[in-house]
Amino acid sequence: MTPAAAPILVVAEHAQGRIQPGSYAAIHLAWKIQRLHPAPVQVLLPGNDPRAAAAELARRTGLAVMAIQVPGPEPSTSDVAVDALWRYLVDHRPSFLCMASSTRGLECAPPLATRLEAAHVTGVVDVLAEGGAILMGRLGCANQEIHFLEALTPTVVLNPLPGAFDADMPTPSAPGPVAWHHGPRERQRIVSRGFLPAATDFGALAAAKVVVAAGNGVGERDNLTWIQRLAALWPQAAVGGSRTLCDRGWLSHDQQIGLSGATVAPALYVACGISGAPQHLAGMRGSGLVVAINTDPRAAIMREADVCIVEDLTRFIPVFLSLVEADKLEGQ
Amino acid sequence: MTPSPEAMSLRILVCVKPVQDSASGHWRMNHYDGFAVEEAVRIREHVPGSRAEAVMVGPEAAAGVLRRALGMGVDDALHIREPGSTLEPFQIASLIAAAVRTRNHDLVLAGVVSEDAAHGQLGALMAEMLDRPCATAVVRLVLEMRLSRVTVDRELEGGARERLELPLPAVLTIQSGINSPRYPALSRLLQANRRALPTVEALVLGIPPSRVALVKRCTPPGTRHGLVLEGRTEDKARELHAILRRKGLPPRPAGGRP
Ligand SMILES: Cc1cc2nc3c(=O)[nH]c(=O)nc-3n(C[C@H](O)[C@H](O)[C@H](O)COP(=O)(O)OP(=O)(O)OC[C@H]3O[C@@H](n4cnc5c(N)ncnc54)[C@H](O)[C@@H]3O)c2cc1C
Repeated sequence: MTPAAAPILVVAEHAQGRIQPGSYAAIHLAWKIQRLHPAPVQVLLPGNDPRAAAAELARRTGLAVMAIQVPGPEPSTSDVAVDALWRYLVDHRPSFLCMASSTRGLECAPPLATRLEAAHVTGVVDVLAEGGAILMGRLGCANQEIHFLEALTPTVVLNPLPGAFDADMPTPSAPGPVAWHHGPRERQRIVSRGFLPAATDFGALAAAKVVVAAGNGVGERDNLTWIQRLAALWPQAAVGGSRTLCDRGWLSHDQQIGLSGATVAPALYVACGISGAPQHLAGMRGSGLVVAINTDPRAAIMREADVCIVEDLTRFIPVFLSLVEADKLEGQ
Repeated sequence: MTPSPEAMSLRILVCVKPVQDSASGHWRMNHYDGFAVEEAVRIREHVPGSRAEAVMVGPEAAAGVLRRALGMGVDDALHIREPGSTLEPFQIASLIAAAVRTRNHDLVLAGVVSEDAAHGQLGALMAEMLDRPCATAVVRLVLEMRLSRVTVDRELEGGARERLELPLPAVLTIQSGINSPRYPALSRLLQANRRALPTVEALVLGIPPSRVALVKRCTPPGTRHGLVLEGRTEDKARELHAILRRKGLPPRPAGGRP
């Protein structure tokens, strides 16, 4: 009799009464692996009192959910969550352990991979089966290639790339079963003093029909004038940008677009001198028409754009502005 | 806190990764590590008697990256020499942990991620290997020396933050924007250039076997149409203008008629 395949486990997260959306992307990754490597998928949900969240997960996904109780103060911290998960995993070794690509997921995965002596791949964009092995793809070479890796260990820990897997759940036919795992109180070293909401209000960006976004390619601060003048061509337009410019203080933090900033979906997104890092793309993928102005035809943003303009923005934008101006004169 | 030689002083370790420019082959310091080095130097300046040390795993040709950290103000540097540049994060962490384990640093800092490979694992791996508490993506850091504690704000998704307290010794990964990394001081750089860097060979420390193998590479599929405009700058501008009008998104000059 062949032993049953080791399960594909997903570690879900919840905080402040909400399932972290990255958990659903990790579930989609697990399902994709399951199609190539048939094995049961089960979700682990660590937390101080994860009962309500576990029931919600089971209802939304139809999957079996194991609520792993982490004794101690709420909210539980990564150190105790890792210890509690490890106590469970040591007796239930998975073939694949999929974790969210959130800050928390990326903090808990390395210690678990270390204890499991597992290969650990972050930023997974795809999986495929080839020659009897499951290959995991991640971006390489400045996001210009996908590198497919084969694990050389029996267990693999994976974090998907933010935005690479769907976070919507199809409605399941029935809720999954929920079970409980109680652990002893672990040694807790870290204390959480709570959550601070985003310091900024992304209202102006979120409401804009057109977003003109500036990146490191503007080169000099003064060149932001070109970005502002370009945005002024549309009535409901806003200027946003990449983290690089916000970190540098050239744009304010409420103008940052991406994973750690605003998520926007305007009718028109003009990316000026932005390379298209996955963390930036995560905040603008839902846009209508995407225009990229970049000197590098191989920049990752070009694969995410409807219209690619290989030009120096300080040359192209002035030409475009005078064209629009001339067009107005003609029309008079 | 593990007792430091001087009461209330800190021994800080900062991990830096050399990143190679694909066009020029030139080695530079990982963007995110610059923020970690700056933070280490600021702590060293604020807490009298403290010392900051930088450690790097990389080829001999990348030694300039470690010298840059010295130029920015760290006191010591350790170069773990490894000719290849394809080590996995847990191999790099194992090497650093093996080299520094007995040195009892009170604070270990690293960049949140590397700009080339973007694994984002090193800090959390170091914490596990050295058995220290860890906080990642730190954007604000306050040391409470009397309590032997560090309080940090770390970034979550969408700009939200979490406030955490960690007892020292601890490991933190530093997110960009926490500070403005200084330029190395010329006098310090000259000094660093004259100095032989303490070096240890990775092979001597022992590199654990790889856990993944690169099987194939391919070009990522595009998600959009990707019409590349051709011709002179003026032609491209005209074509963009036409496309925008067709799509019902006509640009209008500021102050122009609606
Ligand atoms: C946890 C985490 C969260 C993050 N969150 C975010 C986030 O929310 N938002 C975000 O944006 N980033 C975020 N980042 C950073 C992200 O990884 C990238 O570093 C950043 O997006 C790069 O910004 P950029 O495209 O402006 O700069 P670069 O990558 O430096 O790209 C500049 C581009 O400009 C082009 N260029 C140069 N000169 C010109 C010119 N004259 N004309 C036209 N083009 C030119 C270049 O070819 C290049 O493609 C995050 C990173 C981490 C680790």
